[in-house]
Amino acid sequence: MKIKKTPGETVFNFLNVIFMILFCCAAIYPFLYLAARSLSSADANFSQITIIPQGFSWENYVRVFKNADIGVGFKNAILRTVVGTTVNVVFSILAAYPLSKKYYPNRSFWTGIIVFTMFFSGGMIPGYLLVKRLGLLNTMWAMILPGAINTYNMIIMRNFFMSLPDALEEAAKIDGAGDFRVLVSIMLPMSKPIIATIALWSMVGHWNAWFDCLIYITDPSKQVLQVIMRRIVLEGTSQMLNPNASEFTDMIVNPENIKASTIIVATLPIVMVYPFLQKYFVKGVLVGSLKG
Amino acid sequence: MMNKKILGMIGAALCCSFALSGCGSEKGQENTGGKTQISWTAWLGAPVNENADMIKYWNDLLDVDIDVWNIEAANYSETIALKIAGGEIPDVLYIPTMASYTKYAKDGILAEFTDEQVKEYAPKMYETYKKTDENALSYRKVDGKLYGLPALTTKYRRPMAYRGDWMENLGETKLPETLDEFETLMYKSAKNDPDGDGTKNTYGLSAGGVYAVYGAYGIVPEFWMENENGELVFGGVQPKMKEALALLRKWYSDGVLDPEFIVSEKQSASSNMSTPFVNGKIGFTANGEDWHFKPKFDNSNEAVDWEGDNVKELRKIDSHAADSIRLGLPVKGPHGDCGLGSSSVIGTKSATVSFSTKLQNDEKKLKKIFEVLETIGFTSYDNLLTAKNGIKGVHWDFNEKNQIVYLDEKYQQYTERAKIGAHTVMTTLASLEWNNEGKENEVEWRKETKADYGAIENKLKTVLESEGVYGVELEKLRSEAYISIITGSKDLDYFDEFVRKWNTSGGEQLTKEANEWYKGIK
Repeated sequence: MKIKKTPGETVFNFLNVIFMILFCCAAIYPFLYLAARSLSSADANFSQITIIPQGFSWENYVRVFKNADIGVGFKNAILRTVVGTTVNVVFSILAAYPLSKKYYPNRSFWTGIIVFTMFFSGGMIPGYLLVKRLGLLNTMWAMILPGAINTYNMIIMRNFFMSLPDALEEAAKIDGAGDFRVLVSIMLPMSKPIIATIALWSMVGHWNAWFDCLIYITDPSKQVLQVIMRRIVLEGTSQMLNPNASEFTDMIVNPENIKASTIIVATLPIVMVYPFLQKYFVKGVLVGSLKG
Repeated sequence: MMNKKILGMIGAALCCSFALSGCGSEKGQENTGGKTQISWTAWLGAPVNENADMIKYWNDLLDVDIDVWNIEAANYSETIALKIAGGEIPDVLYIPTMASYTKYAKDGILAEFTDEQVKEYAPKMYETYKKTDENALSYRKVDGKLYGLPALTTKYRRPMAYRGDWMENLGETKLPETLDEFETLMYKSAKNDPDGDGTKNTYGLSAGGVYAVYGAYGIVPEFWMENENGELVFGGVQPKMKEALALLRKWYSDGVLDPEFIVSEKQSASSNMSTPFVNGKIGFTANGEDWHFKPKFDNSNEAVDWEGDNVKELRKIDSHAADSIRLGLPVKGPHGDCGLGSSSVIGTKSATVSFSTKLQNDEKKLKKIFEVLETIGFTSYDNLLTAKNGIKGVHWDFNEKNQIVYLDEKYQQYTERAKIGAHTVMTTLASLEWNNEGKENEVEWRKETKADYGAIENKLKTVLESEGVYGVELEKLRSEAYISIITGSKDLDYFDEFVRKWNTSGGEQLTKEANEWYKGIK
């Protein structure tokens, strides 16, 4: 039987849709604006709000891809994202699984210690000293190891494992499986949604991260794309203002259109990952949020 | 319960051990193989390559071994603070702000030196400083001791930029010289439809333009000025300011002052362009610096020259308007005052170069560093040109008009020059005396537009001790007072109350400190 909607509900739904459309427009507009700018010719004037490219041209992208730094950054960013995500996921699983077992000795103590780091951290300076003394400066590992386990992600994963029935493990053990076999052959196949979710978060995090690279990596050939993009985008802004530029020819910078295409180039790859993982994503977030 | 306690203890222990390890000492870098090793920081447009051409060039020429630390300019202050906290202090420390310079000096991480040492180690540098300003080095004294050398920056005044095509439409040919004439033009710009589109959508001036009015009363609201008793006073609270605000209040209610004057004319911090000016909303601006309005010179010292951002952007909309921009002079106010804010050659905004405290007892090395700094920045135009642009014949060359042409086009971009160790990598400290070399057109343009006429500099060239305490609050108080007076939400007499409030909320203390400092350098 179809339930008839009351007029109130109809109005509510109508307004809801309108509101959502407006909200989506507001969220997507900056991207469209940048996309429009990145496809415009150099003499386009963008003092008015618009999303239509003026004097369509690929010139900006050609110049961005010709920039050797972008290539280096891309390579490093992909490497960092792939290695970093793998490390994140593997270590999160290895930490979360034992902590999800009720028979694990002192389980709440160990969990407590790990959760402790979510609220208190050593801060930036000790972090820097640690990385430095470990000899990780100027290596990719400086950006991967300090955040090898994201506590929040690990807890979510632990909660997911806890929601799986204990009987599965018992059954597998009766059939002669060891702990690793249980994890790899029984638990992991059932945990695809949560693994996909954590992987996606980790991927986006690694792709967008720049600050750790900024402070730990000084070798230009090891810098990631975000740092290079940021440098290009900030050219000529007050943040990059050179207080002792005594000649204004020093201020000749990449035009806004080039900056726009650089941003698009740096953002698009990670945006393209979303559709592939989306189906797991919604499910993963939901189930991960079960009891603590 | 038990767990929580243990947890807390472990946590505390961890924190302590981290904190303690922060105090560990660093092994110093010693001289190796006869060459003096110098670790170097500067404002970098891009990270410097390993084995960069120019670093090698200076190393060979000066028999040193320079190691440039690649620190991103956009996050320089926090990154260098991190390194310093970690015990790494570069021999040559570039400090972008006066506030952090004072802090570092007080923290004892900078080597102290004397005027005499500068004179002895780098006579030409010393001479340049003295020629620029008798007090040049004194401006960098902290508690009477010298820890750093100030960078020199070219002085630029705010522009008085008018839309020539609007003036034509309004039947005006002469640029205003007095505030009355200026007022007439502003009213006409707002009322008489200067853009000829039949609708009233224009104003006389906006956020930048109000400085022209303040200037006509001899005031730059953010600057300290000298009063008739030779004392420093804060511009923004002077009685004349009240008159200026009264005038602006009238203009606001008459629709001459753009109601959006409360926000900057710059669309983003990145821009040297006045958005309302370029969009044809206002016909006058004093936003930015005069070179943001400069034309393209075909006879600059570099073969490729650019128009100022306002001209460039306006040209995209209306080429005729772009060509019509006229630069005037600061207008004369009712009391005969006439001026406009300008940057300082050595001000609180200029960078400082200091030296690691490790050099305090290493006179030989300090001397060598002074030699390096002097040779590159203060001895000859050729050296400075090399330091900024690269090696002649390798990276650039002169064309038949004696202009710089980069042999690889990519070096036009300053970031590419930074990568080879040119641009600003070695030239934080440099004399300004060769600045106009090969720029006849520009010098001529500056002379024609009287670019220095009426320039008012901030008399205070240091950061006051209590500025960190009161600065932000006072600034907020001031801008709110101005806005509410101009927009009419408060009476004009609120100005007196504002001055009282300003004084009692820390302004008095700042004035006291400013005058103590002023006496000290006189």
